[in-house]
Order: sequence, then C-alpha cells, then structure tokens
Amino acid sequence: MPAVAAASMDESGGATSSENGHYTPQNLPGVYQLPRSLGEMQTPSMVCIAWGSGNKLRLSFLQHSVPAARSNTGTEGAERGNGNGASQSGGGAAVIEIELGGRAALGLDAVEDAEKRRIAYGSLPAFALLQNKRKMLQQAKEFSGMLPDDWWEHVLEYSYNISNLLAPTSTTSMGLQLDKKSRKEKQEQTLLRAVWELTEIFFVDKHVTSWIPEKLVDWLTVYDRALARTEPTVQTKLVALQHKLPNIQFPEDDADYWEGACSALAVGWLDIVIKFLRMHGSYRLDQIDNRQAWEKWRSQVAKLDNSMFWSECNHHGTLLGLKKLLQILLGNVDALITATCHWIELLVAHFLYIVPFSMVAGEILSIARKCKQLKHVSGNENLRELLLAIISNDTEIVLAECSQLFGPWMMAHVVELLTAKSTHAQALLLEERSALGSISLEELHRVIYAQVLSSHHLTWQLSPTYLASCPKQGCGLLENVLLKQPVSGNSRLFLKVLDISRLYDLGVVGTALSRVVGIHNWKHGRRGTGIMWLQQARDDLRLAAIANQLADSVTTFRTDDIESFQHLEGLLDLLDSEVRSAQGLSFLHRYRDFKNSLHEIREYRSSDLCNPKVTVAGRHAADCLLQLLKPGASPLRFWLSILHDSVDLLEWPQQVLLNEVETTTLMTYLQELKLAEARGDVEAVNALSSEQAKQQLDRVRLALALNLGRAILQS
Amino acid sequence: MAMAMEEWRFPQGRAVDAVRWLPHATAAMDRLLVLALWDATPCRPSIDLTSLCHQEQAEAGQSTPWLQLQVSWPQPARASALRVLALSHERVLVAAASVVGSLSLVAIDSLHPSRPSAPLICPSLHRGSMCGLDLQSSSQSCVSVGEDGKINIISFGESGLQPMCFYDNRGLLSFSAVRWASPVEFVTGGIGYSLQWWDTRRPGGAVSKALTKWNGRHGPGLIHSIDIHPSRKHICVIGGSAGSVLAWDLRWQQEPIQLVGDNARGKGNLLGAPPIESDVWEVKYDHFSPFSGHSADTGKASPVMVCSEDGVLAVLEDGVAVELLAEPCAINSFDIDPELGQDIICALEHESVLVMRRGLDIPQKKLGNLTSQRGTIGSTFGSNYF
Repeated sequence: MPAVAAASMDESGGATSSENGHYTPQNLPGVYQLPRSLGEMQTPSMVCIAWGSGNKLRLSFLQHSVPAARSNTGTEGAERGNGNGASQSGGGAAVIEIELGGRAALGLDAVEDAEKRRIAYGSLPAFALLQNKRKMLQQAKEFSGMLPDDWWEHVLEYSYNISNLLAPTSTTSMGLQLDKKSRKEKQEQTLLRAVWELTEIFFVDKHVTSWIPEKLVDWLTVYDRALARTEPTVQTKLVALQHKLPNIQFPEDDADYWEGACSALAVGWLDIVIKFLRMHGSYRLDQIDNRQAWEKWRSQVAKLDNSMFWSECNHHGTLLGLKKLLQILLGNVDALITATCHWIELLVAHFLYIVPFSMVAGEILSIARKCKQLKHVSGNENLRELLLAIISNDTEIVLAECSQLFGPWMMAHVVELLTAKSTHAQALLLEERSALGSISLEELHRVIYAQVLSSHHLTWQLSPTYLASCPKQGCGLLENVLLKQPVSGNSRLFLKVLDISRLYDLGVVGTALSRVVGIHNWKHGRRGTGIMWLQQARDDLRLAAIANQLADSVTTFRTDDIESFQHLEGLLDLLDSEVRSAQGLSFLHRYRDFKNSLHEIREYRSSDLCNPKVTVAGRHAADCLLQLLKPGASPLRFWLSILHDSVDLLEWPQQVLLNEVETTTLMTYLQELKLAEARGDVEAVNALSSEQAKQQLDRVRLALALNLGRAILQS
Repeated sequence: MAMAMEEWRFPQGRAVDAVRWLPHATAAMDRLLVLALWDATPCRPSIDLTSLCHQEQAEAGQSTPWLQLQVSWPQPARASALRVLALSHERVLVAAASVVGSLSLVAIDSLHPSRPSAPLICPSLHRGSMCGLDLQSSSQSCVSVGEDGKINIISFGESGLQPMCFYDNRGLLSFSAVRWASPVEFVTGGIGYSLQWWDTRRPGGAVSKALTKWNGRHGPGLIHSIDIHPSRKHICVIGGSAGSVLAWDLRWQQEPIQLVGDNARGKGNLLGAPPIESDVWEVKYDHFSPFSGHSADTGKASPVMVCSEDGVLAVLEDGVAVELLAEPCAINSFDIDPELGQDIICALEHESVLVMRRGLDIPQKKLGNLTSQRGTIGSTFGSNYF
C-alpha cells in the first residue's frame, strides 16, 4: 500500500514540481517538519496522502528512525519534501502541501479565474432571491409539488439579472492588469450569454412565443459575433471587408463587396446594407437614407426584377450585384444559402424572406433542422447541436450539450430557465432518481457546483446558499464544507464559518469547531482564548482539566510572587463567576480573591499604615477563606495550602479574626484531610507526604489550637 | 425618500482585506487609497497604492471612476490590520500588520505616488497574528497588539524602526484591537469584551479596565475594532462579536454602554430584533454631518459608522440605525475620507472594492430596523429546509 501511494505521489507531486521549477525544500510552501521520530516505529517509512484544503494535496512522510531504511523506501518526491532537517536527525516526519494544477499555481489562469469568480459572486443574490420566492410560493400553496403558472415571470427576472452579469465588463475597473485580457475569454463569456439568452427566449419568456422569429433575428444581430468564435459567420465576412473596403476606390468592381451586401441583407442587417450601398460610386445624397425607403423598395421588388431599368444600367458589376440583392429579397433559397454562413443565419434569413413571421413552433423546428443540414460545416458540433436543441425545446440535449460546453456554473443556473414553464422539463429535472442517490437532477447540479465553489479559498462562502437549496443532501454536505475549513490557524475565517453555522442553525458544527479552535489556542499558549472557545463548545471535560492545571500553577506561586499571579488576573476576570460548567474555575476565582487579600495585608503591614485598614483587610481575607471552605468549593489537594495560608489570620496579633465556629470549621477540614490520608485517598496522601507538608501541618495545628483558645476566651 | 448616494464597484480578483483613504494632498488630482490584497493561488499578499480617477466629462453623471494602480508592495503574509498617518503635508505613512506577526511600514509621497519607496519590515514582533496596530504622529510611534498577549511600541523616528515590548502576559489574554487616545495613552481590547487603558509613562499594567460582563451565553466576546472620539479622548466605541457596538467612557469607569447588539434589547431606542447579528468588523466615528446640530453642544452621542459580517454598513445615532448598504456578502473593512467624510470606501468579501459618495443635502434613507440581505437569504430557506 505505501508503495502504490508513493508512486502516485511521485507522479502528481513530481510533475508539479518540475513544471514550476521552484519547489525546492527551502521555499516549498507549507512544509511542516516534525524533528523527532514518532516513537519506536516497527513499520518501514510511510507516505500518507490526503486532500488538504482547496486543490491542495497533503503528503505526509513518516520516516523510520533507522537511516538505512530511509534510503530504501524513500521516494524521490518524498526526499525532496523531507528536506535536510529530517535526514540529519535520522528520523522524523514531514508534511508537505502541494497545490495541484500547474497552470493555476503559476497564475496563468488568474484573470480567467477571477472573471469566473466575479460571475459566481454576482449570480448568488439572483439565485437566492429566486429560491426564496419559490419557497414562499410553495408554502403559500401548501406544497403541491408543481410550480404556479406565473412562475416563469420570476424566472425571467432572474434570467435578466444573470444576463446582465454575463455582459462584458469594462476592463479598466479590474484591479488586475487586464490590458492583455485575452479576447478569447471575453468572447467566451459572450457565447455563454448568447446561449443563455437563447434559452431564455425558448424556455422562459411566454410573451415572445408569438414572435419568436423576430426575437431570433434580434438575437442574431447581437450574438453573431459570439458565434464567429466557433465557425465563420456573416460577421467574420463583414469584418474582413471592413478592413478592405476603405482602400478600394470603386467598391462596386469588387465581387466581395456585393457578396458582403448580400450576406448582410440575408440576415436582415439593413443598416449595414445601406452603409454598403452608400459606398457605391454612383451614390448621391438622399438616395437611400432610411428604412422607409427600403421598405417601399421591397414592396416594389418583384416588379423591379422584371422592369426596364436594368437595361439602363451599364455597369456590369452593379447589375449583377443588384440582381443578387433582389434574389435575396425574393427569397431565393440558393441565394440565401450562398449569402449566409452559420446555419442559424440561414434560419434567420428564412424567417425574413421565405416564411412569414406568423407561424407555429413546429414549423420553426423543421426549418431549423433543414437549415442545419444545408449548412453542414466542420465547426463546433456541440454548439450547433445545443442551438438546435434550444430552438426545439429539447431539454435532455440542452442539458447534455451545456455540460459539454460550459462548466458547473451554467448547469446549476440554467436549470431554473429550463423548468420555468415546461412541465416536461420540470418532471425530468425535479424527479428523484434512485441512481443518483434519490436526489433530483436539479439537486445534483447544485451539489456539483457547490463542491466546485467550496474547493476555493474565497468562494467556499457561496456554497452554503446552493447547498441550502438542496433538500436531500444539502445539510450533510454543508456540515462537511464547514467542518473541512482550516479554521485553527485563521481566526477571521473561523468567525466567518461560525457565523454561517449560526445562520443555518448548525449549532453542532459551531460547537465542534469551537472545540478544535479552543484546543489549538490552548496548545499554542493562548490560554485565555483557548478557554473562551472551550467554554463556547461547552467542553466541560477539558475545562475541568484546564482548571486543574491552572490551579496547580496558581498554588505553586508564593504569596509574594504576586507579579506572576497578576498575569492570571485578567484571565480570571474573563471567567464569569457564574459559570457553573467549570467547577474548578470558580475555585480559582475565590482562591485569587483570598490570595489578593493576603497580599494586601502584607502591603499594609510593610508600609506601616494605620491599624483599622489592616483589620478591614484581615476580615475580608477571612471572608474569602470561608468562601473557599464551603462544602465542595475547593479540591481536597488544596486544603493544606489554604489552611497554611490562613495561619496569618489565625495568629492575628491585634484581635481574634476567626471566631469559635469558624475555627471549628477549619479544624473539621484538617480532620477530614487526615482521615482521607488514613483511608488512602491518593490526593490526600500526595498532599501530606512531603516533609514540608508535615511541618506545615504542625504549624496549622498549633495556630488552630491557639486561636480556638483565644476565641473561647473572648466569647 | 432615497438618500442620493452614488456607488461604484471595482472587482479586484483577489481578496481585499483592508482599505484606507490617504489624506488628500491639495496639489494632487486624484484621490489615493491603499488596499491590502491577498491572492490565494499562488499565495501573493500585497499592499497596493491606487488612485481613484475621475474622467472629467461634459455630460454630467456620465463619469465613471476607475482605479489606477500606482505601486504594489509584496508582503510577507496576509494583512490583518492597516493604518495610514499623515506625517506632513505630502508625506504619508502606511503601516500593515500581518497574520504572522510582522509589521510593514512604507512612506508615500502623495504628490508623486508612483515614486518607488522600499517598505521597512519588522519580522516576528508577535507570535501568531498581529491583530491590531495604530500610528501616532507626535510621538512618532506605532503600537501593536497580538494574540500572543504582547503589546509592542515601535518608534519610527529618524533612526529607523525601534521596537520595544511594552507589556507581555505570555498568551494568557489575547489582544485584538488597539487605538491611540493621546500621544502617551492608548486603549486595547481583547477577549471577553475586555477593555484596557494604558499609559506609556506607567508600564507594567493597565491604568484602567472596563468592567464588562461577558458570560459566554451570547457567543464569543471578541473585540474587532476600537475608535476614539475625535474631540473627547476619554470616550471610545468598540465593535465586536454578535453585533455588539459598545461605548465606554473612561471617566465613568463602569460597564460600557451597549449602543446596539444582543443586550441592547429593551434598552435604548432600538426596538425589535438587533439590527446586526454577526461580527462587527470595524467601527468609526462618522464626522460627516449634512444636518448640523448633533455636535457636542446638544449633548447627544456622536454618530458611529459600523460594518458587519452580514453585509450591513450603517450609521448609528441616538439609538437609530441608518442603513447605507446591505450587501449579500460581508463588509470586512471600510474607511471614511478624512476631509469631508462624504466618500466611503468598503472592502467586500466578494473580492471587490466599493466606493460610495453620500449626498450633502438629503434626508435619511431608512430608519429603524436594518435588513440584512444575507440574513434574509439564510433565514427564509436555510433553517426551514433542515
């Protein structure tokens, strides 16, 4: 097993290292060394592999303490990570975190990734708002399982929001150096937007069902440029002409000029056609100046084709060109096919010149199929299929092709559009499938997207919103995401995780993480913070252990060593005396008060202040002492040191501070201590075993006897 | 009645941990600001000096500003606190604390912001994170506090950086925020809402402590930010866990007064549920006053601006909260421009910077309870599903 693991590690880790070329033991990020060997390991050296946070792979190399064994089993990669420290000590362990994905590690995709994250951040409020509305509607209708009829209107609003988000951003505002922002990326976003808007037209918007062809024409005007990415379109042709035409004196002599004009006309870009015709050598002002002129022209086209004007035209190029234009206007299929490039352009041309706009959806579909066959070129087949599937309302294929072309973001968000009005799509996407662990396709895509989000340091905070909309597996996965966050070294991150667990009522997660952070802080010497988080986690067991530890350190202080005791002061201030959960800590509180008052007395005495103040302080100390001696207030092992500290009060020179009853209480404690020792109680035996303890015991006995005598006399 | 506010968002593509305005140099055209940024993959923390450029255009309302990077200083680790201080008319000092306990100081010539200057770095002043720092011009010193329970005073005079450990409780009590009150006095805040007042002339312990009552029932008692009243140095305001905003008057030496938050229910004028439920990351006295009259002579409490984890930016005044922003993500840091107080800059969790300009003659937008956008998202379909 370790051998297999080692080999695979060498592959992945080694590849990353060599690609980047900067992973040496000295600067390898996240190398943790354990200097000594882990006890007497009988096993050979081991490599353990686990996922860290994000895309990090965590490799742990546990080395056998015998140096010979190391050279046998240590792989190259592990050696590299292990560094010099471990090999010098001849045993030990090292943990390395390696960022996988060479491109990401080198920051090549930084701009692209940042743009993707921007979209992820922006789509969150829209998604959450839509889910919110859905929830409210379903609650109002007492959940019939079906969405209301006007649901598509909400989805349309959501779709507008997302579409705005996908619009190309102004590069100047980005903090990164975006002057070289790859044009490719910008267009890809537009392609995404093109598909999004087309889906919106066919799957969401019920208002446009009667004029889908017009919408399609408009859509093509905006997104033809985006389609040009995968295969040539009219746009590509026109852009090429745009560079050429200004350099030609008589454009009408050029065949490309007329071809361009035909193409633009075929897809209905009249403004461009007009611009083209204005370049014609014979153009005079006011000739073709607006759309009305063209409309009128169109009505006359049929007549024109056969008219006598043609004989008057003596420029051969113009004659042929104009004839071609007229053929397009007349709806000549062959002319349209030559003039257009992309099949969807041919479809639009069909709507404009062959089939009238008023028609049913079934016909669109058959025409679309025909167009796609006619314009069969080697382009991006996925995109062509996707566009056809959207037009034909074929949900399955839209889903399949979307997942091929676009990532999990699209899948998680487009589902809302697909289910907006189609009951078939709703059934398909919302049905729970046993093959998927009895979750629906909708939930599946959300879960996948949430997992992608949670693998990044910054976007993991978005995943709760998506997981919260997953009724089946959301809660469990959300707990998992939160519990996996590396909270112990990052207090701000921890507070953010804690806040999310509060928001989603996941108290268990908060408690578990508080415990982890509490222990981490305590181990790193931040005792107050550690106690605070353990209190939050209500970890009584550990708090009790901590209380014991603190109590030990407190009682070992000498009374004159108040300096170091004062450091504990703030800590004890922090611990509310009401806290019942930690019995030991409330003892510390009282013990602190008692020690303080003793210190006060000593100060008064040394500065020789007037007696009344000393007496008041003495009485206060006696009160504190009695608080400590309440049943169950102090652990047995501290009794002797408390009693010994009270000798000063028992031997108060001016007057009797502790009366008969109080002295008897003290005596009872002494007696119980001796009895416990006789019983063989470990704590008592330990407390009384030393020679010093025996002396202290005698001292306490004497002082008690003396004070009792004085008290009886006084009363 | 909407408060006329303009806002612009600038995605950074990196985490924005802190933002600060630089004092405006009259001769300079554009406003300058400092950002503490952090890139996760690969780990690349930096302090960036950028200028906020406005294109002067004829048509009004069409000018969209943009951020122009001037200088970027790589940092040893992710920033945990950021402060700026005007040393003279055009010299500005920027100080950044990091999560590994180091301190970076860099002097900027605000007339020539792109002129390179090397940062001075003090490594490992604290074990663990340096949670707070503040700069003081007259004594030319910087005070820093950390989770290791240490207070350092670093003087940055002509002879370079001279760090000095002022107090150390060896990790017993972590400090999380610090603010100078006068050239020799400063306030620190730590766990359990503990507040201490210190005097550099009296080392060895705090001069005064606030008696806070933290019982652990309302979540952790952490202080994230402290601000001192601009004209009365004995009054400070703090922001911390569970939406707490507390004011503390040193002269009264009693419990701090809760301005807003869990315990403010019933007290004060804020009715209903607490407007902010999660951590208040930063507090600042708001010196912007479009409606004159709430100044010192009326005896009312000065307005305080706060930003929070649940995405609220609000001004609290006389028990009334005026909401300026309700974002779907946390607002980690903000700053009010030091001159008029009209412009606000915020660091959003979603890797972007938001610049906002408040109108000068407009009534308040919304009174009473705040609506946290993120809270709505969570509460309506989060808990019910589970």
